[in-house]
Amino acid sequence: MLSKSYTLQTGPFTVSLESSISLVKNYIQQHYSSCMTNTSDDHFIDYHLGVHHGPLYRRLLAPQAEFRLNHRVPFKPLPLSQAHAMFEWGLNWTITSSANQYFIIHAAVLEKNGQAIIISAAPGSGKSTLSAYLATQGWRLLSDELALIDPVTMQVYGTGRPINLKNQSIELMKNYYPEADFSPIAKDTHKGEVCLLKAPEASIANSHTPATPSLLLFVQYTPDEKCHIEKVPPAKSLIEIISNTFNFGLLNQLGFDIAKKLINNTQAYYLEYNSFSLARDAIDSVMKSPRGLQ
Amino acid sequence: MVESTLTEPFDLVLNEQFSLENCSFFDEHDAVIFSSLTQETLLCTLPVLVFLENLNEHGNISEALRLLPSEHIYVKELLNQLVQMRILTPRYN
Repeated sequence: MLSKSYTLQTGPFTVSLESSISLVKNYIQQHYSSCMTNTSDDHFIDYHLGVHHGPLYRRLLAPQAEFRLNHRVPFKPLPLSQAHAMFEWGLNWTITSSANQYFIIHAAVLEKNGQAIIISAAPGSGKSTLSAYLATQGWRLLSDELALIDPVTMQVYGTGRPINLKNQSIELMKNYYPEADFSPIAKDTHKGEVCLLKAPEASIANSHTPATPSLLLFVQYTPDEKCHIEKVPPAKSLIEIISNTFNFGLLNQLGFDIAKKLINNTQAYYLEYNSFSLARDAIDSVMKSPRGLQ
Repeated sequence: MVESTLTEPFDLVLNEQFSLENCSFFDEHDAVIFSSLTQETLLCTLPVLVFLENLNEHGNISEALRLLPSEHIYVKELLNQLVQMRILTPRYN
């Protein structure tokens, strides 16, 4: 099986990927076709990644895929059918453990008219699903997973990468996106069923363009409750943002300074939602009001 | 002077490396205290911030403690937490 190499421009990062796995090669062709770039030999590559077949003796019975960063294998291999998802998880891990020029929040980021919302939530709270929906409603998706804040400009960057859908949200989003944008489903992962949804073309094309954070949103999908939005006081927002920041401990005092600036520059809200359109309307009303809802 | 399970009596003072100005944040109701020595944060009520300000200004914990609610357990837990975060440090007599 021949290896194929790709150079991908994803937000502020240039990533080199080599893979010998058909599933990964097809996935990259389908989901990253607009991110591929030709680089000269002297172009700086941020990360050299690989996703390859696991040990030879496993190939007949339970074939595996392994992720490589700079030719090293930082994780245990996963089933071959999860190889494309493994690339995404591996790239997330690579960025969060090394891109310390940014304050990195576990959050989705979307932008409209230059104003960004940062959606922070615990896993399984509906963050990616809501982001995927908003991206069909005039919002530009910067990321469904990582908000990268520049400490100097306080602008937020994303990566324009595929959206990580899980379990029931996969079927839900088929009402909004063409079938071809969905990757094969990776089953029995540690997150259940995972499907990667291609980011909208406009998001990919502008993935290098940052935005100014103006709204912090803490979300929770609650199917049995009415849509409800309320202000979160600054001190509580600060604690929440810090607890969702990957490199807060490493940035230390600088991290605390950035988190304080972010809170001072934004409004923070808690949103419970059971309907996409009501959630969208609630977000729009907050964004339109210069001082937020009182 | 603070009683503890330690055999020696001691006072608590603010750690010299702790800067209240750089390591605190507050709104109308709550405050956040950050320790750059342990990278921990504490969400607390405003009187805790006033307590630290007074301790910073006067260096006298007995005086500063008067500002805190009087529930013994609350104060003891709070002081323990601030010691763990290395914001307060014991000064043995």
